[in-house]
Amino acid sequence: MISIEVTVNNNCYSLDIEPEELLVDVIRDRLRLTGTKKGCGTGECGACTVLIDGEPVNSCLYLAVRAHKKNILTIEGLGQPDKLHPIQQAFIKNAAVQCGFCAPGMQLSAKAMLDENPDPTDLEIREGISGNLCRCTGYVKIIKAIREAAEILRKGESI
Amino acid sequence: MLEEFGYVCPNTIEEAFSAMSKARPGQALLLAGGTDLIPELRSKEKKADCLIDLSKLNLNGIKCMNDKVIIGAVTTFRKLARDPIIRNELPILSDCANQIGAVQTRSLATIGGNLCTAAPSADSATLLMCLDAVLRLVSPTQERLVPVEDFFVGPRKTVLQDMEILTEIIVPLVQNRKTNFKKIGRRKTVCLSLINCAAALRIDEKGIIEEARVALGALAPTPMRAMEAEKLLVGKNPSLELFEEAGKIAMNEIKPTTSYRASAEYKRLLTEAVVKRTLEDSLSQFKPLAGKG
Repeated sequence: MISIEVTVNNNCYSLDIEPEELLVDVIRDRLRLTGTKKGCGTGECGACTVLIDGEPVNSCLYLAVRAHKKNILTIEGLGQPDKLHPIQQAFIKNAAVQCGFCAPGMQLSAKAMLDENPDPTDLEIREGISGNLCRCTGYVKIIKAIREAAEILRKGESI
Repeated sequence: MLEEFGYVCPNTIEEAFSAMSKARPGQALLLAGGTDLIPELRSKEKKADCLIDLSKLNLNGIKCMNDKVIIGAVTTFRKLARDPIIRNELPILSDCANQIGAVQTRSLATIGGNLCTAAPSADSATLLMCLDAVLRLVSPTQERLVPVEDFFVGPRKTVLQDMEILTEIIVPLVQNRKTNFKKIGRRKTVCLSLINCAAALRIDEKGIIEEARVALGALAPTPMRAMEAEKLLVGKNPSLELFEEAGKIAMNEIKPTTSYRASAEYKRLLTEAVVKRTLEDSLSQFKPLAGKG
């Protein structure tokens, strides 16, 4: 057992972790944050994407013990049901969510990209989400939603 | 769920060696990004008594000195793609880094890990071969420098010995070197290379090719140089016809296998075309990708 301290969505946790535990399982099973999804287990679908110190990461490839002293953002930290993040609002408004399974990872990838590049071209948007697979929407509305969210965020409109 | 293993995160390379020596031979596996290792542990392709996390060994710096760029082995592709030294001095490496895996895997995957996993399709290997990169391998008793092209001995097999750690990738900076890298796959991201190709040409003041490198990946048991194609190019004026011929020669140097991805015959035809195009594009003005990776 290894003791770690990790911040998830601005909450600090002290956890005892076995080395072989994956971050995605700790987030889902221990912290009960089930917004982060398990898709492929091999880092190819992006459903498990979380932000670690602002960088998008496949949590299915990340040993939880490495999260010591890190700052993690899951989809639950992006917005609240009564106060959605502009990215979430834009996804809903643009029908960019169908089954919803890819959405948490997709939105966090979008956030990471927009944090770094607030005025992306369409190509840059596509590159930003290129690690997230969606089987439902065909991506067109996702890209539109991100474009719209980028504009809202640039204008500094409050969430 | 993964099977049980021990875990250490040493602060110095000596601590790492100590942990390696305490394990049974081959049972202490080095953990860099984990993007290859974790799936391998999950599928039970690999087993370990203990993982040794390299992230605190300060092997993730990039510096430029004495006409060489020195890259720490545990540098992520995300960092490599964005680093100002790489973008200024070796923009082709930034471009290559941006084509590996996906945004999320690049936050974890490291250049050293890519080389040490030693898949025949390893993207950074092909390019580093063209750049005449040299690898620093460190053990408790010695350090040795191994050219990238001598590092691979078979599919997923390298010359790394039991107690050795790859610490640095050293890339010499060369004047008038024009390079290009192409990765061909079924998708633009999140895919293993069906084939990849890197080319480097050094052109003299008269416009003649002084030196040539053509390297290919996923077309033989290891990443390889197309030496006959290279010999053809040296001493000649660059031209479309010359590059076409180089493609034809390279096509006969490779040892492709037929897999579910593509037949050997298709890979040969692909090689002919991709070698030609990579050589052509190495001459055109190169700009790093707009995106940061």
